[in-house]
Amino acid sequence: MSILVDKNTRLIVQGITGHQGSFHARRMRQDGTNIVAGVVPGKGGQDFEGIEIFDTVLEAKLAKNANTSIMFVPPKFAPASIMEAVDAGIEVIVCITDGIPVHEMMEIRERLREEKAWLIGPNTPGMITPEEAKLGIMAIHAFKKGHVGIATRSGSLTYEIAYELTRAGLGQSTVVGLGGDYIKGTEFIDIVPLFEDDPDTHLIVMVGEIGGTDEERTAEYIKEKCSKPYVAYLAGSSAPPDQQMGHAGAIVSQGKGTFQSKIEAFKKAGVAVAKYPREVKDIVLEILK
Amino acid sequence: MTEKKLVPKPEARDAFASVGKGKEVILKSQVLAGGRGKSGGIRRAKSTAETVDVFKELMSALIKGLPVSKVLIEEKVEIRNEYYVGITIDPTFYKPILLFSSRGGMEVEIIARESPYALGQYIINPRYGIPSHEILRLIRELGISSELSAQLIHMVKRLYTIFANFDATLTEINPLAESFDGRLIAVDARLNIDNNALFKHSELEGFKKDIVDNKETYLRGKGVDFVYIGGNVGLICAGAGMTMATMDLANAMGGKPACFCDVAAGINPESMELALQTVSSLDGVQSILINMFGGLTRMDEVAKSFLAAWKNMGGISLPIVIRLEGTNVEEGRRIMKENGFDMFTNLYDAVQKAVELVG
Repeated sequence: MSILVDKNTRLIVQGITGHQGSFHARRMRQDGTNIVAGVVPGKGGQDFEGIEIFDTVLEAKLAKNANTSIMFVPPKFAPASIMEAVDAGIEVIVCITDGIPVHEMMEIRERLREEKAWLIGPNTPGMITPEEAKLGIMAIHAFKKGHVGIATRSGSLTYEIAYELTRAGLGQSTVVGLGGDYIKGTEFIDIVPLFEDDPDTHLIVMVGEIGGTDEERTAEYIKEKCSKPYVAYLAGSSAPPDQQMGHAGAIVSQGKGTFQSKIEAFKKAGVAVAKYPREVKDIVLEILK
Repeated sequence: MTEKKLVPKPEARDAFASVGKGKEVILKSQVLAGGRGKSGGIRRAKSTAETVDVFKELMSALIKGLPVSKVLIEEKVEIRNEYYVGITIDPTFYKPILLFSSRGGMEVEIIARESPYALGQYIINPRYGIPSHEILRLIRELGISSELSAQLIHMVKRLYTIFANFDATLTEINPLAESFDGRLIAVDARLNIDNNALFKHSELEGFKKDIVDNKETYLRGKGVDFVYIGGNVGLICAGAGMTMATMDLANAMGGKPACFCDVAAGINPESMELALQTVSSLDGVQSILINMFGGLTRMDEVAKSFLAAWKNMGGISLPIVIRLEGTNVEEGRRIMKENGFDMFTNLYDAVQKAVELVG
């Protein structure tokens, strides 16, 4: 078991003939992901290295019984591509694109509330269930199959932390990159109930950072509803206020989303907090031994 | 609404009579910086001759180091009350939120902390905008005179139209002043526009040339995400999370990060040289730490980029600590060693070393 992505994933790649799309479609296939179709408006009927291309997501879904989509589309067109996938009834949608306007994301959140679709991202490296399927751009050697669920707001720290866990023999059930934007399709608070219900996930690691209120709300949820062990690491303790730290979402503004408020919320909820990225592995070993 | 005029040169003479009604005017230099009043950028005048003199002085002055190309001339108003009205994006519901306060003139976070009872809010459904009855509710709850209702409804609705139409992340009027004769005056206002949405707004093209071309904007255009912090350990990393975590570690180990510098957008000899040059020339930097974990990025390629940049610059006089880990790291280490650079694979040892070198 795992969450959102597994052997049954039947993937559509939106923008499969582009520079990024073609490169990562090849890699995902190499890494064992079942890509059933590509979508490029105007190129329906052609194929990409044996993968059939359709003009629309709906056609691809109907012809190939697809349930998941990933898109490599520039920020100008990504909101429309997300909406198209939602309209076509795709269950899990991954958007890698960095730079989508925040007002567009407000509209997409409104739409997602009405539908049964999961949007992972934008501005994410994607997600992976090791040895089953990968929906994203990460190199798979940092990951291995196991029982630690990981959700993270940072791609680079995902590597650092997953690699340490993997080397210590601690594999992962599913690793989800939530993305670095201010408004995301999926947050910790949405992902935690899935991990909590997944029998193959024994412990959950959250890699957060300053900005927003997701960690605080999630801590409250964990305190009331969850029974599995949770471990968190947070980046940004030394960041100055009102300065954006690379990620659009990593900014403390209006006094909200400080490092301190997140740490306190996690501690109150009984979540073990790692001081350094490396400490995550030590704490996980301690809990699971 | 108050009388105001953004004036080119010849009209400054008329402004005293037309805008100031012959009594008194305020002249505000238009520069993209806060704290204008304290640095002499906001002045008053009580006659036509004085208005013209002050106008000329402001136009030739540097305010906060910036040249003044426009001056806003306003009538001087006696203020009875100051309010706050702003629209931003709520960090929990991800919808626009209207914030309204009977205590204007200070930052909204201070109002929220010190007098939360004086701060009203309404979460906006973007499909319907702000209904008048919600604005009336806030006016009632905050004890604001109902005589201002019609003006306030008009103003708040206009503010939301601006927020929605310009892809704003914040638009606020603060203070929103009530004069003794019952008029509302936007004394100061802010409009923050989402950088990612600028491509949708060709009508803002004219403003772009007014934006001061700072170091951060220049570097971002070249693939280097940079924020100046001001410490002694210069950092060059890949990935926003990793860069923050490295800053935090340097801080925890007794150093002080000099900057946030993320080159993940594209590591090549040019971006590496730009990052090295930028970071090594910061005041107070005593050591440099390069820290990267390669997933798709190959560490042998990173090593080659670094060496090319290093050679091109003829080296750097500051001590440098390098930590690479991940894809092809063994080859990366061999290349670095060949060229006389030792390398760490452990993040903690590397940060410790960089902090020790600060002395």
